[in-house]
Amino acid sequence: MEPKIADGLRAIVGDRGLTTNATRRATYESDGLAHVRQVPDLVLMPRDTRETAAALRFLKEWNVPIVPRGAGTGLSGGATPVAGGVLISTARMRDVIEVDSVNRFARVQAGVVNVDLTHACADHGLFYAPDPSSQKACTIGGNVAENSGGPHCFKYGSTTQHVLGLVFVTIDGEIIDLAEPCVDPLGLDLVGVFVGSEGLLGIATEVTVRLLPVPPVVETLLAIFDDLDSACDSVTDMIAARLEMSAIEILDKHTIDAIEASVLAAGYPQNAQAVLLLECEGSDVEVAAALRDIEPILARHGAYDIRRARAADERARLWAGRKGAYGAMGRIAPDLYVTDAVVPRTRLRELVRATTDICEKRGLKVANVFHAGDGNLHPNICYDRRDKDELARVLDAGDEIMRVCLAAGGSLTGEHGVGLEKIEGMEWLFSHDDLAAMCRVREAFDPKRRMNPGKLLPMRACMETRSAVRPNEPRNG
Amino acid sequence: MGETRDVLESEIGARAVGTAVIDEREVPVAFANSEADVVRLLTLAASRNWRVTPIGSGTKIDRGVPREKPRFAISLRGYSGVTAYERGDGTLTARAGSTMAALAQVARSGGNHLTPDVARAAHATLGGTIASGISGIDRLRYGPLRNHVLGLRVALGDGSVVKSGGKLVKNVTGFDLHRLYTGSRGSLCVILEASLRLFNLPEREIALQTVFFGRAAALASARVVLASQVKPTCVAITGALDSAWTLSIALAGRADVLVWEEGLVRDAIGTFDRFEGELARAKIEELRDREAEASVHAACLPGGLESALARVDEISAHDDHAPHMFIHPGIASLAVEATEPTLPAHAAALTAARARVELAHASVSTRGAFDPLAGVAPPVRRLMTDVTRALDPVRRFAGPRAMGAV
Ligand SMILES: Cc1cc2nc3c(=O)[nH]c(=O)nc-3n(C[C@H](O)[C@H](O)[C@H](O)COP(=O)(O)OP(=O)(O)OC[C@H]3O[C@@H](n4cnc5c(N)ncnc54)[C@H](O)[C@@H]3O)c2cc1C
Repeated sequence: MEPKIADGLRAIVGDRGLTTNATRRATYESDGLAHVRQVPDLVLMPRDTRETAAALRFLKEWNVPIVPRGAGTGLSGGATPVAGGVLISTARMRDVIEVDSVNRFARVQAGVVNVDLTHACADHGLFYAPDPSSQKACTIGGNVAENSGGPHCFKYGSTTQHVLGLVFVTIDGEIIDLAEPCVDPLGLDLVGVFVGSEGLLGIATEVTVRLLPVPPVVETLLAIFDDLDSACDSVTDMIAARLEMSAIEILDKHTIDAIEASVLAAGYPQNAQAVLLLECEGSDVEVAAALRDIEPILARHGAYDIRRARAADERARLWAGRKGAYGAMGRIAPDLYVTDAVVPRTRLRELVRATTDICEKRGLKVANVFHAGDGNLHPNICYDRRDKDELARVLDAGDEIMRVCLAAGGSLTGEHGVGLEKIEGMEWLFSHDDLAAMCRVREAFDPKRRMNPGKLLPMRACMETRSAVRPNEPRNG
Repeated sequence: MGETRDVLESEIGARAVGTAVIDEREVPVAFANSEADVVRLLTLAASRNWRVTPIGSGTKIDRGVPREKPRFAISLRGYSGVTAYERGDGTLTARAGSTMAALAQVARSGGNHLTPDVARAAHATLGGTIASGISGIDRLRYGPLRNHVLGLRVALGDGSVVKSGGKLVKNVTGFDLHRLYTGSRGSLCVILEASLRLFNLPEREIALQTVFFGRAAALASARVVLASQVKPTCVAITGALDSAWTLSIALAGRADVLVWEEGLVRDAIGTFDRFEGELARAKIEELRDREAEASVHAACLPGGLESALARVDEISAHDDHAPHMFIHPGIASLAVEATEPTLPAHAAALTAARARVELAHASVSTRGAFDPLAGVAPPVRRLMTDVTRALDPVRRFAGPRAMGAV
């Protein structure tokens, strides 16, 4: 990359805000989609909105692609660098700007880590609801870009329902200040369309989020099954009975074994084929009423033991096991391909089986741990990326899982986004016209498509529009 | 008008053409009965370079800033019906002309509750409700409408039919363009079909009402209820300065939980009149429908409600007519039945109190003089314009003048 670019950027963000060193740059070569890698030419770490805007105005002159990055925990390759481009990280935007307990909102910089936000408002008796399992690492900006979910989004909804305002910087360095918290937008809902746009519409630098009061009573249950099908069926029935719970998660045998063999051992029974991790929140009366309804459904489907967490530390352990499941799977194989699809909740058993069969047919080991209450499947395929043949089988299985879920009325992604990983699938789900509408909106924000090119929207779909900056293909392996 | 009607009649038949009054102007209306009709009408408009506006039953057409003048309107009222009701998955997909009451009934028959519970539900169409972005009287419990729109199928100005989102309760595939379309008031597209998330049908519904002398006392009691563990669907205070104020609380849910919640309300506010079943519904609908008739609607942050009310009081003090008010402290919104001459002052005062203001049922000149986007920064306005242009480059749609139009 032209040395003048680094010089110009250094003048804006200072030495600490720019990484040119090759070894340090290499640490940004991928996100959680580990088999796709590309070392960024430069890594920029602005401190705030103003520096971000100045840097983007400067980079406009050089016409280079830009990739926004939070913590790099994304699983679809959204933060994978683009050759010849600049990676803009929010790692130095970590301030909680304001917690307003009267109006129940917080304003934070985009690089604030999800769990730090909840810690920051705990003293006010408030919490931030979206809780991705990666919450100890992922950033609020990344959550906004992916419209992230999490176990408790079953009750509270994904990130989009909790974002009240935003400040973002467009590719041209213009600051779009929509920080004022508002539930109903004035004019077009620009915040609504930005959430989930996977870094294509700009860089979020500040986010205003809704906070909720901590519920007075929380009950966590662990229902133990001796087959995965029955666990799925009990969830389908709980949804049909419209039970008001806050989280419904399934963990299968492989996942349980991996967790129990790790430092996160949570006390999940190792003789079980599946467990359901359930949570009810609210007043004691509401929770008691919900539990009265849940238990017969679980029993009907053969749950042979239903354990209630007796104390806060036991509850915390159960959740730590669930949220640490991906890490724990590192014991099974060096790499994990976390697939993500949503399906109608009436068809959970059939599709969990189908996705498992798809992997097993290819000789792959799959572990299921997923947000069952939302119909959000995560068949996690354990593999070793150095084994080219295995990698090819993994990717092939991923494709077939997508197709099977789409054919059943499902969708490509429930929370991890399309990124690089599922870009081809966009043409299976959407028509040319559907994609063209998305491309047109993108061009209103970024006419030259320099922001996170090659992600989310297939290049072909945007062809009829003006010439784009074409990213070099990231290299595989 | 005559020429437009002739052209429309020859395109879709005389019986499918009528007249509507939009912003005090008579406008020919073409009634579309199918997606193909909508596309045909848009193609016709394109061939003549006419501007059009989509409408439902017109129940919310006179809210907000007036529209640019359309050559004709496309009514979706005749394009109704449920296309998918997934009872077990808690989702419903229906054509835009379906009335909210009809959809609520379908949901109810399967044990689901449909939100928003909007005013004049027997007439209000799904498309019109989504396009106007209006939430219902049940917002306190279920949240704003935009959170429950799972996906939309729309026709763009060039006649292409596109979808965004889907029918599933969780889905992040592609841009959420349905968020843009929701509340866009006909400025971007014709909404053809929508998928909504449904909720649990409450076992029982009750309405509790009590009267206070003075707004402050009513508000204080409402706040005690809101701070308790009760989860009402609505907490509203209605009245006028120097008169009695009624606190209405709607509760819905499981019978056993309601008994307990009612006890908590009694502890908080003492005695009340109690309505159950049909009577409760009637009370809630009465409040819902009357509030919709108010002429100033404002929403602010909870902490800003007192200052917004103080501004309204200041104006009322100089007016012979103390306006009736509807206050929802739980969602920090208020509606004021102000007289036409006082509307500009109310709108300005509430905007100064940092509330988001919308005028309804007022004359075009009054509504036209108030720009709700006046305080919006130029880059934001510009971006709205660019997004509007991107989706509707030839400005086929006669949207509200303030909706990103320049
Ligand atoms: C162990 C593990 C568990 C996970 N569990 C969940 C889960 O339960 N639910 C869930 O939804 N996801 C989950 N994820 C996925 C991931 O954590 C989320 O997608 C998260 O929101 C990504 O945040 P990040 O800060 O790491 O973003 P990155 O990975 O750095 O970036 C993600 C995308 O956002 C863009 N982006 C980042 N910051 C900004 C910004 N400020 N402005 C604009 N664009 C930006 C990037 O360009 C990229 O496209 C999990 C991942 C892991 C590794």
